[in-house]
Amino acid sequence: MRLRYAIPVLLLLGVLVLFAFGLRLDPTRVPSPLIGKPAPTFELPVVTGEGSVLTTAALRGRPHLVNFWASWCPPCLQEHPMLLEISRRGVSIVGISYKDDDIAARAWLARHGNPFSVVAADRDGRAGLDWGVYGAPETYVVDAQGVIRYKHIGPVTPDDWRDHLAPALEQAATR
Amino acid sequence: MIPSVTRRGAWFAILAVVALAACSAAPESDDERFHSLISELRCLVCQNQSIAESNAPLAADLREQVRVQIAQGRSDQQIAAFLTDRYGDFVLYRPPFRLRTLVLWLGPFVALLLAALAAALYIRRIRSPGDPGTEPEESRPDPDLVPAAITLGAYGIATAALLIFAAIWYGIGGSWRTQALIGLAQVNPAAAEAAAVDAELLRVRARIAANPQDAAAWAMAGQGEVRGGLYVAAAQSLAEANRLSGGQNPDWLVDEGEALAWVHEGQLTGAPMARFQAALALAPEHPRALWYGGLGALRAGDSDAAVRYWTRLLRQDLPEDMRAVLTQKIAEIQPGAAAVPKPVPAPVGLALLFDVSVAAGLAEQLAPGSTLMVYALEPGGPRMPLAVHRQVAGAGPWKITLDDSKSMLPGRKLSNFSSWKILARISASGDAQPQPGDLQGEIDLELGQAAGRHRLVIDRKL
Repeated sequence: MRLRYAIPVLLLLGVLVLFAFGLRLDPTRVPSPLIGKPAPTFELPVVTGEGSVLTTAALRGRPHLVNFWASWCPPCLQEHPMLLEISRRGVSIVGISYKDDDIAARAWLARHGNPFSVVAADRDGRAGLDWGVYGAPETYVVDAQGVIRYKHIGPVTPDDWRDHLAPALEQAATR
Repeated sequence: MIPSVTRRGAWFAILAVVALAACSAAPESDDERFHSLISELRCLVCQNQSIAESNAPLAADLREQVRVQIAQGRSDQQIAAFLTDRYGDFVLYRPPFRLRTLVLWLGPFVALLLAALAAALYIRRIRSPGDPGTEPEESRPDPDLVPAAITLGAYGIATAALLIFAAIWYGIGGSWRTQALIGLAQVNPAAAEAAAVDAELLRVRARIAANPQDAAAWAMAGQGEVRGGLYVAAAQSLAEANRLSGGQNPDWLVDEGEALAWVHEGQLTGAPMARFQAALALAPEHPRALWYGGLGALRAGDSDAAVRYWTRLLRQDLPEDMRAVLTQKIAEIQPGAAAVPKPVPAPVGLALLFDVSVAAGLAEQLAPGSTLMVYALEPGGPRMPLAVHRQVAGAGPWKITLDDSKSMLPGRKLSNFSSWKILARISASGDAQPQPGDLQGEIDLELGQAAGRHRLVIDRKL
């Protein structure tokens, strides 16, 4: 019956393990139910070209990143150098100007540089809602078939790129 | 009359009953559905609020979606599915009963059951002391109460250890917020510092809100505000810190003087100077107070005091560039001063050369005894100049040089920047702040065009 004294110790160890994982979790990172599902379709006006429209269908055929950003969003500016770096490596990044004014968005890109292959405007945030965006910046890895493979919430750091986004993109390319 | 009244009363009674019945049986109105739905949906931005409570823009969008979909006649289940398809089960305050959520739903009941079981066993144990019949096992040689006490002790120790561990873990490991900040610092150190300063300011302001008499908290708030460029707020916070501490902390006095100087665009005489002198009265060797004290004394025309302050500062352990600036400044005031301990290295970096003149129409308005000030500002930055040249105006034109030796703060000098706004101003009062009636002219310069002499015409009246 010495086992009885081991029970509290075992309980303690169990809770310690839970703490070890639980305390490291970031409560603002909510897992997306859209991973592995076709990206929600949209049809949005292109910010940089008058009158043209960007559709999800037009993006098929090549893995790419979709980045929801806004000129009013400070973390977007924080991740901006990283996005420029990623685009220099030949990755196609589609920018969705999320709940922003087109003029402000254009001015922001002119000032800080444009890492996006195309920028479309989601003025009322409806496309963002379909994509499950709840705070810019959010970055999605979409494969050539238009399926979402990974979602990153918050600014992209070099570590995020190396550990998550780049591998997800690589996987999407080989699929 | 009487029968008709009673009949009417009867009618009312029947109507009331019918209305009541209708109420209880009727399906919820759209409005009720809307309110009960939005209070069960979680806002993803302010995660501990429902979308009914949250002011976040996303919550407003989601409320609008719910309203529209109710109007379209969709069921509560369909609306919930619409949102969980996009945001996951996380949006539901009442998560669905699934394999993944089994522990969540049943865990508390299982824990309760186990606890009740343990309690029942324990109570049975202590209720039957000396009753050998009930416990036929090996607990007999060591009857009953002792092991129960040991178990209790073990649980107590375990709980304490758990709490201590949790506290230490959170303290050392840092929260996910700190992790995010560290990540940010790798990409954009300036932004990370700003975020850290903001977070610190929030904490300090909470401390002040809890105890407005906390002088140290006011001082910390002021220092954070200086770093964040909020100079007016900083001067107020630091004034409060000094008031609460009875003006006995030299660091805070210097901080306040510095903040006041920022507010008044680099003007050191008057209120800022009073703070530096108060600080020096408390701590005669305070380095920053000596630096600013010297600068302020020089500005007030008391070059002896300036030399006195700065020689005292030179005796301290200073960084090399600071020492160079100081010896140069002393040498300027007192050519051949004995106080110069080392040969003066020429200030490295760039020198901007200006030919300053007054436009033809304005030259007549030059009052005798006016002061000419030529200074460089960081474009779009604070009003604290990067370099200042002052002299009695006399008659122009003037040949002026701005270089790093004319900096007011060691870290803020011309060569740290690649573009400048240069202002030339003639002031009858000599005040560092622009006054109505002052004559002024300005040009913008960039590093690429820094070489050569630049024409700077004073062409307007303020």
